[in-house]
Amino acid sequence: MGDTGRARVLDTYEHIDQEEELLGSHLARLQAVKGYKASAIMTFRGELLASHSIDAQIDLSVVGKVFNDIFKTAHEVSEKIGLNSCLETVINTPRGMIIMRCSGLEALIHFHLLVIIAADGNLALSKMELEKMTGPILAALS
Amino acid sequence: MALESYLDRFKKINGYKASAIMNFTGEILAQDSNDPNIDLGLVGATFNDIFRTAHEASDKIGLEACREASISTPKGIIIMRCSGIKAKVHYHVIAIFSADGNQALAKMEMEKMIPLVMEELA
Repeated sequence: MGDTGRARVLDTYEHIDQEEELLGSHLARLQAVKGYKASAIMTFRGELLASHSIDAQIDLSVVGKVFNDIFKTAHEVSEKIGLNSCLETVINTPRGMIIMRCSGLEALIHFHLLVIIAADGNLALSKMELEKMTGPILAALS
Repeated sequence: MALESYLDRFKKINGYKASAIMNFTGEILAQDSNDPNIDLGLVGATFNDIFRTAHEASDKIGLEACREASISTPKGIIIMRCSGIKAKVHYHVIAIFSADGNQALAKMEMEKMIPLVMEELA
């Protein structure tokens, strides 16, 4: 590989690192929400673009794809019954809540956000933060 | 009391579209719909699969099996509730409302009907 080619590859890696750092900074605002456990930004296929977890049991590189599949199936079946594709899904369990948010099927970039909080965490604030984050992340990815 | 009569609670709620009681494998035990687009006999099993996958995934990350899931779309909301995987009878309830429907009341009604339907099925 010539110098120019190598430089180009290094540039690309640097660009990816910067992008991950930038996307990760968007997740920081969720970390202030009461009960926060983990969060991620994923492509609509479930590939992780950025993730963060403070719970040793939650590895989003392992379960992120499963939650993304749940969301994608919800997209399809909601559409099938005439309600349009889903924008948000909330899963409640005795010990926590998983909130997933979609940028929109027709958005410039279709991506998914995921946040996991404890059962006594602030669900309403999490939803508000996800709503606020969607625009800036869309801009960052465009 | 017929299982269908428990679904009457939902029919009075603002924005009601459809509802069903299913066993945990997704077989419909009772259903109702006032929206010609929604036939829970056809799509109920898919929603049930979503719920069962959510059970497993939540359990895997230490949050225990999920009790409730809600899917919001621009035109409606789908609410699913589980009686509990360790309950006397493990079954699922689903209710669908328009986007401006009263989802808080729907969730309250679900909470109230869970033990009643459980007694009926036990």
